[in-house]
Amino acid sequence: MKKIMVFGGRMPDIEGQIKELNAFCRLYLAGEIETEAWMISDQDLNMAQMTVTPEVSRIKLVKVRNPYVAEEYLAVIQALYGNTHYSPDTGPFLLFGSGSFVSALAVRAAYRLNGVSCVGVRKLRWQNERLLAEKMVYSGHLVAEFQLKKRPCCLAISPGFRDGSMIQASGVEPENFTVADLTVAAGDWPRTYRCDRTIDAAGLTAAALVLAVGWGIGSRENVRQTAELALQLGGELGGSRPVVMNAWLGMEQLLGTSGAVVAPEACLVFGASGSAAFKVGIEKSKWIAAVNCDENAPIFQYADVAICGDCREFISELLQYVNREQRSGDEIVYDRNSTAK
Amino acid sequence: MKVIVCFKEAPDLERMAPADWETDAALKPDTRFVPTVLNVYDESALEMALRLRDAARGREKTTELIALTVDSVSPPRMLKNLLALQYDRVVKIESSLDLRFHALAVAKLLAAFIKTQDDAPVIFCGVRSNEGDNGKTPLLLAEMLGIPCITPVIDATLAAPDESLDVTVDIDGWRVGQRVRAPVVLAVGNVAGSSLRIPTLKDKMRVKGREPEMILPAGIDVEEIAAVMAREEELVSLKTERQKRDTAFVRGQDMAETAAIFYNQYLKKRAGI
Ligand SMILES: Cc1cc2nc3c(=O)[nH]c(=O)nc-3n(C[C@H](O)[C@H](O)[C@H](O)COP(=O)(O)OP(=O)(O)OC[C@H]3O[C@@H](n4cnc5c(N)ncnc54)[C@H](O)[C@@H]3O)c2cc1C
Ligand SMILES: Nc1ncnc2c1ncn2[C@@H]1O[C@H](COP(=O)(O)O)[C@@H](O)[C@H]1O
Repeated sequence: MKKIMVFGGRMPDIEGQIKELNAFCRLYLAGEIETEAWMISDQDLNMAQMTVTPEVSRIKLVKVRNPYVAEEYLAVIQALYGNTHYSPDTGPFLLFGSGSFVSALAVRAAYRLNGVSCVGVRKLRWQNERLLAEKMVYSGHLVAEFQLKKRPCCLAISPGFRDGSMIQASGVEPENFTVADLTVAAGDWPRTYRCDRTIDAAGLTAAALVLAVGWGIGSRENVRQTAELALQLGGELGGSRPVVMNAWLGMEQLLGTSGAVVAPEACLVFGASGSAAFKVGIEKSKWIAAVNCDENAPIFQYADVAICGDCREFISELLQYVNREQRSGDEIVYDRNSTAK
Repeated sequence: MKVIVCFKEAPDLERMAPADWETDAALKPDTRFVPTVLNVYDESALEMALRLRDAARGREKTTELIALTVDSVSPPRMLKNLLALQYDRVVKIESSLDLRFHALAVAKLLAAFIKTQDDAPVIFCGVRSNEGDNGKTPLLLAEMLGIPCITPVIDATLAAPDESLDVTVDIDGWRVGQRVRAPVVLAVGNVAGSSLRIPTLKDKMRVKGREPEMILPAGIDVEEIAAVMAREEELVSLKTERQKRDTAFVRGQDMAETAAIFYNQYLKKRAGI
């Protein structure tokens, strides 16, 4: 069997892909498997600083002309794959990270190489020689297992794999390849091209404390107050889909199947119903506290601590309390009568 | 310019009761009792195409808008709404196959229709759809048509003076802007403020008597598609995942007390506060 980890894009994204794919492979594709790493980028990747994966036996480096023009990356993948024929039981697997760019490469590469693809894979197992891939479907409500019958098998993993090591592959010299024909499908396409770094979800995904607001937060002003609370507590702010679609928060702050997947020590959720799609974004948190005015809100099913009530009032009280405590420096012993109400 | 928007309607899953998620022998939960809604990304795509058409108005060239779906279930209400919003054609390719997880088959049916069009189109899709969450159809469609695909698109505007489009994409922390021309597939991602406009009564009156087109897959062997589907992959299980935490309710006499208890007994020990 053989597996090929395909890394694409720019730094630091590639580094993130290495970590998540290593974590995935350690769980589901470890052991006696011949492993290659293909690194495709428009940047000059400094392999001396880059640490790939423990068991990798070959590293192939290819440079493309433009960052993030999928057609160029696909031409490279096709060229590197070549005409090798593998028997079904020898694989190979082409593995891609969870980001939208590389996930799309998985699907298109499978089509070009006459294989099969699956996006958002969170588990892989063999049962009686059958390869089964597990992923979330129905917007996170259900878990499906698919038997994948063709090869190559191009898998893009689900977000949320972490702690993959970056151990240096010892004694493996990266080989540089050039792919002659990078002309993309439609002649003069694209006509102009610009690529800028934007804010990404990195702060959010690395945070130890996440505050998540849902539609029940009610207004932009209340979101601002929650941001203040986040600042006081040293946490990062995220939100549900309705909140970002209404531009109360930036799109990079979206939590859930279509946004960031966080795994902080603590996650505070204010006014989110706890839909399946949102849950995917926060369920890896070690501890979850939720405030919702509806006692039967699904969010309470997976919260460690629940507060039934108006989240705006709660936020405002908590903010006042935290401010007072931080001013005095000591713990305040709560005295009901001293609080003007 | 010809713009084709591929859209799908699916059951509103947030309205499902927990018991409805039990699946039957065909590995299908019973979604008959919840209303059907537009896939969220497709809603943005349909609105984006309308905005392109609005922007192109007053220029010499016309924009033809086609809304296209492969479906067996959806009620005619949404299709009629699209006519009222002045989609020139609303086409439904009827299929009785279980296509929930078969983006390849959906893409084949869409591609077959698109190939019958004379002009090179701009094709809008969403990045992902219920119920399958496949995230594949626009990519496979582009491969089948041999044209580029850009994903996930967050903005597309008309670039004067020709028919190029300025397309913006958000890729994992990079914002990419590019000028492209038809034919191209644009897969629309999360776009703030892109709810589909609602037709007025007047809009609806104007298209009274017009019906969406229902067509059968042209020149395609549906049996063959089913056979290809079965050779590639197969759904073997579909389940709910229940992992309930032990929930402690915090209740003070008023919100101020609740906040204080919460802070001192729970929050303080976490996250290094
Ligand atoms: C394909 C697809 C992908 C999706 N991806 C995502 C995703 O990545 N992330 C995501 O979040 N959603 C996603 N969604 C949307 C998701 O299905 C839900 O619609 C969404 O998560 C609901 O957000 P919400 O909980 O903020 O809003 P609502 O469901 O409207 O819930 C608001 C909650 O606030 C409570 N509330 C109201 N007022 C107050 C108050 N004053 N105090 C306390 N509580 C109050 C209400 O009781 C309610 O529970 C996706 C949907 C689809 C179809
Ligand atoms: N049955 C369908 N009819 C028309 N378009 C579809 C259909 N299914 C999927 N699509 C398009 O493909 C996108 C991605 O869907 P999927 O690959 O199923 O996740 C959707 O957002 C739609 O634009």
